[in-house]
Amino acid sequence: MKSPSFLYVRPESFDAVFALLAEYGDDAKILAGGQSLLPSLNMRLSAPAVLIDISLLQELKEIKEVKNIEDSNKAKDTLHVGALVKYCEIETSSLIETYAPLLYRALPFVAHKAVRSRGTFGGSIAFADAASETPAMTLAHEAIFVLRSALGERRVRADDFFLGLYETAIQPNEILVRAEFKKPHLGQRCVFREIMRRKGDYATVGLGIRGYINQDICQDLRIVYFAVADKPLVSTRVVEVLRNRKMDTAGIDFAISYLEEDIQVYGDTYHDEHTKMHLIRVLLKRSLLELIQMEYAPTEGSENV
Amino acid sequence: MSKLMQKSIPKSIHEPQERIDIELKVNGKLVNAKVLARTHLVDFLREDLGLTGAHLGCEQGVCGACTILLDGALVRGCLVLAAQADGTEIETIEGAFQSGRLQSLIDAFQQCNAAQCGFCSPAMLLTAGELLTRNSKPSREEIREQISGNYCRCTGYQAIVNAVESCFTNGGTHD
Amino acid sequence: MLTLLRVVSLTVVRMTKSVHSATHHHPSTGYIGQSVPRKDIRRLLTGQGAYVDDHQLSKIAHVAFLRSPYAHAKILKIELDAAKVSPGVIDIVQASDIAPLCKPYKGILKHLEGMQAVFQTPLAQDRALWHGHPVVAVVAQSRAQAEDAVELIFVDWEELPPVVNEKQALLPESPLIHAELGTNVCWERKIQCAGIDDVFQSSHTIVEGHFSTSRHTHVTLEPRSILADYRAGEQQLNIIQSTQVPHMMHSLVAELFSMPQSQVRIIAPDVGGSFGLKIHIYGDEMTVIALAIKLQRPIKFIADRLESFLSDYHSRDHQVWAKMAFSADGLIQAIEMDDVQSMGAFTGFPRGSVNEARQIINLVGGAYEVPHYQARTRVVYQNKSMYGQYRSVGHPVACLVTEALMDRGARSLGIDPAVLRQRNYLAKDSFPRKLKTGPVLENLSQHQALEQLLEMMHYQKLRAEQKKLREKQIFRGIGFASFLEMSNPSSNTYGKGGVSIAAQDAATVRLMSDGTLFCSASINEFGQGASTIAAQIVAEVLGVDFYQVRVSLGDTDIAPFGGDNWGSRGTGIGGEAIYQTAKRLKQNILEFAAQLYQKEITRLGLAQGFVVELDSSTELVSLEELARIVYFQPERHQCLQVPELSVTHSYAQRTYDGVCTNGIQAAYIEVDPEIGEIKLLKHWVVEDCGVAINPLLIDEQIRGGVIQGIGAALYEQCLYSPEGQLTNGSLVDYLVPLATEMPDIEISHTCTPTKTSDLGAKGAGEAGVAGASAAILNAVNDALAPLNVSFDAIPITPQNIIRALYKSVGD
Repeated sequence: MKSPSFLYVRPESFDAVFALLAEYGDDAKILAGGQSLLPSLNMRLSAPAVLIDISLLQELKEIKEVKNIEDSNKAKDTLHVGALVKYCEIETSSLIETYAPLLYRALPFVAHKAVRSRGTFGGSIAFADAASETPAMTLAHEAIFVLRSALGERRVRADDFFLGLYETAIQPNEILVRAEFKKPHLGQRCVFREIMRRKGDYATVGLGIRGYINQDICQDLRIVYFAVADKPLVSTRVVEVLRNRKMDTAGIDFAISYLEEDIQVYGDTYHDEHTKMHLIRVLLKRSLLELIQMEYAPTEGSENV
Repeated sequence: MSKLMQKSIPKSIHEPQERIDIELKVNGKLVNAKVLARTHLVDFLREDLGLTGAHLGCEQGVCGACTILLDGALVRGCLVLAAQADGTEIETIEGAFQSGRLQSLIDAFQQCNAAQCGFCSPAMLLTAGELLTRNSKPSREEIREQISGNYCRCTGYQAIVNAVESCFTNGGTHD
Repeated sequence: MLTLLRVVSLTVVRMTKSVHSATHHHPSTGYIGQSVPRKDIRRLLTGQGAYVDDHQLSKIAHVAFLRSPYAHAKILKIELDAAKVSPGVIDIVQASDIAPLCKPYKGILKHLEGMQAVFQTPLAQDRALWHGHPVVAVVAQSRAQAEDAVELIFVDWEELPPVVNEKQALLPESPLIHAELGTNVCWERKIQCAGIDDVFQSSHTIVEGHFSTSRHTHVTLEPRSILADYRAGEQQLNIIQSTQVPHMMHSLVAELFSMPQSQVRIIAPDVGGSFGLKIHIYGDEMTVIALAIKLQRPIKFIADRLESFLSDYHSRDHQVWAKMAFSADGLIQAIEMDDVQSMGAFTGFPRGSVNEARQIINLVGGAYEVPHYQARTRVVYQNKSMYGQYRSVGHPVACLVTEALMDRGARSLGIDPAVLRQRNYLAKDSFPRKLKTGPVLENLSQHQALEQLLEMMHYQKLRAEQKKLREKQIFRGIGFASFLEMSNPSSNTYGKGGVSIAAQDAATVRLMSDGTLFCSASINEFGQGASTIAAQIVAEVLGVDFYQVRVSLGDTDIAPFGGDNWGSRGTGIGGEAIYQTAKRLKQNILEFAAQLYQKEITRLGLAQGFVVELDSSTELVSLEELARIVYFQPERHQCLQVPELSVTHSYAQRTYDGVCTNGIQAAYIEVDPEIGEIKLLKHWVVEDCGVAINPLLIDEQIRGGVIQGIGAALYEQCLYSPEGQLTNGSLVDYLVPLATEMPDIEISHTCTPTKTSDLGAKGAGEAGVAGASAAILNAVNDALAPLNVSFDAIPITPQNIIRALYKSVGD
């Protein structure tokens, strides 16, 4: 399983990257951590003419907190997470734990240590594997993605970013620069859960929930499911049913009865769509029960299945 | 935690090339080479440098037999291009053994018969060794989790867990 | 050094929590019976292993294959023009290029009545018969360049209807994979039992199951690897091959390539796992040898992981219907079973692909008194990868069927499953015991093993814990599996059927002129510790330190000819050959010393590297000095013949078809029924391999085997599309056990030595696999019994559990 031939280039500026993308178009691929690209090359599933190694673009490696000093009533502090930030850095970042706790909790589930030391945040986002934790948790945190091209920058909301299996809003002439996370309000509760055949495998089903519960009443909830369809899915119906509802077992059961309106599920090698729907239903119930049992302690770890 | 030491930043390469000049440290020695773009790091180490301790089991990043250390971190050698290793410090099992830092772990593997065919063993040792640098008394569960990305078909893993555990329970020191 | 080893071995024994109760009387003053750590392991641990791919030769070239993407297709046309000019390409060959060099071959066992097979060639000729069948071989300067060229080959295929499951294979209207056979059935055997229907009719309780064990692939971490080199000047063919069976390879390669054996040398270097994979003739490997001869240069082929999935021999693909009848007090009255094995497109060469079925029909119910037994087995061709042996060959399936029915019976009758087994075991005093199916069982320790197991696992406590937790809707299960495992096979397996696989082993032990020992034998090392066993035996007999013994295995130029490793014969047969050879050398040494020093031979012994006088412990002469006299100074003695300090001796086990071992396993698990997840809490094994030469090595072999059996029970299966293409042929999709999910395994032993040899050692390498799947299946069924769910098929996946428990899922 040797890769087909390709040319390798290591530009040191964004302009150089854009020039290469313009010249080679579809024949070029961005090389970030390589943990998804290189296996696909070794298996000869893709055969780009050129690999553009962007590891010299230092700006992409930053985790940077940007304080909002202008208007503390309206906008929040933001965390910038560069596209080349590695999984292992996210795993140990207290800033990410604060700004994107679901992403933080998902990290130990991403593959294995040796992959997490090379794989990048941006690489995972751009690859958009439907069973991957990272895209789903950025969606759960309503991240904003910053894309840059020779023409400038544009910002894309996570809701508009993941379009399908391995398909994102990134245009051929663009690269993903960073994701931006808003600082959550105090009192946010988070649950991340995943079911997998073996530790480190792609998820069979998974979800991330974050929200606010005030005296047993659900104030605001965001649920994102992953590994169930061709992309991570944001709950619309279930959260709607839960809004302002008393969060007890009966309330949760009632909301979960709307799950089939929330998502359409695809099967995988070992689980057909019915099994997956069953599993996500069970996972959702366990997660919501965990959510209501949590003390207000935003950094508390959640147990996983 | 990050031990990522960017000792030297690799040079930029402006034009796409099929052959790339790299300079890196391998087991403490400076190495200069010209590599094909598509050659991955393990093939470079094995074929060009004769360091055959890292093994190829899948070339997909799944089996873990190719695991080595790059700038102090465990990596899958089959998922790193040799070109990407420019400016890095690589340690393979040969280097780790020569430095003596895995001595008690190697002894423990022998005593516990934590290797049978041995194909997974160099990677297993580097992986287990990395845990002991961060956690001087891991539980059996923590040891199992650390090696969960290293496939072994022979031992069933228990002897490996025993070996790592014996490194600190028998009063043995590790580095 | 000896003291250090003893301290070390005690520590190791404590850590592995093994209890050894060797009752066989043996003059164990030395190494035999000790948990000596392997001395050749440091090489592997420090990155100095030398596997095939680690070998480099000048002018080496590499091979990649174009393989059929279809399960069944005609090859209409092959266009090579673009590939031929691809950079680095040296040569490209098809079946017609290989034919002048390599004879076709047919895997058949002539002593199996009615077995049907056809010839095959290394590369597909006219027709591809499985997804992965090699068709074209490209030789290039590098593997990468060879793969580049393969992509440029154009093949015009005509798809043909494939046969992809056993039901289809057996239908009369289905396509025939080999028209000349007139059937898709390779082999069939029936065991009739008159009146068995009446016995079933009149029995108190009958239990039944439709059992299914999934198709497996071995997934050795080191894939199949071969480096073949032909030296035209000497007409010498040298092959370095990752193989379990260099001697078998030697005989067969010489024959297939029409060369005398004296011109062929096979070396098995360090081998990265085999488990029965690397014991066959593979078409791609034979092509590599042909290329070496044709191009007169070294040719290397390392099967990559994707092609390993497609082209390694598979195993364990059985559908078994079986029923068992009991009396009111739980005594087995009858067993009936019907097995269909789905093999591959050709019979494996030389071992024939039917041995699993052979073992299963012989051993279902084997551990118990079974007054009436009727059975049929059929092995059917499929358009799938070839089929062969995987560790414990057939025993795991026989065990699963038997033990699942036993548990089912226990449940029906309301008898504790341990008690039911105890009641039915073959009577203690009835050995040797001939089973109705043919095998003779020398001696077993089943009752003792079960007692020991129940004590080890604190059985009653576990049952109480299980009951308490059930009230809290926590579902734990205990599963037992009594198993038999044949070892030390005789020529009945192969030789009798005309197959060139030796049933004997030989060893050479030589005293060197510095007093150290050199030993070579016809068994091989692939991680199980054969070199260490050999050194232990020689060191003990010759009275030297373990580290003074050099062992060389796996080189057909050095090792005497013999049977290699398979069927757990390495220690029992190879070890015995080494033992008897060492004793003969000892005799020669003592005879010479007696003559030289005018002593009575009965008063002499060997200890600490010296010939000693036994009563006074006086050192008479060192082995080094004695060797120097014999080799360099024959003028110093008056012996009529030069004393022989290099001895070769052979041994074969000819008393039984195989020496039977026994054991019992138990699994304790917890099921999360809502998500179908199984947590493995603990596992126990009590095993009897007769005299244990090295308990540490045996126990770790057992552990490895148990994990493989767990893989079978919960994870492993080859999946196919309706068109017969393997759909999960990658390490991401074919699931093997990883560390986090696996349990700790506690092991202890019972010991009934075999009388077929002086050492008394039976085989142990396969015992772990034999019972593990059954133990897990039974544990899952035990856990879910309150929910009225029971499984007959492995692997038991989360989907299987969910579908069984939630009837609405899957509608």
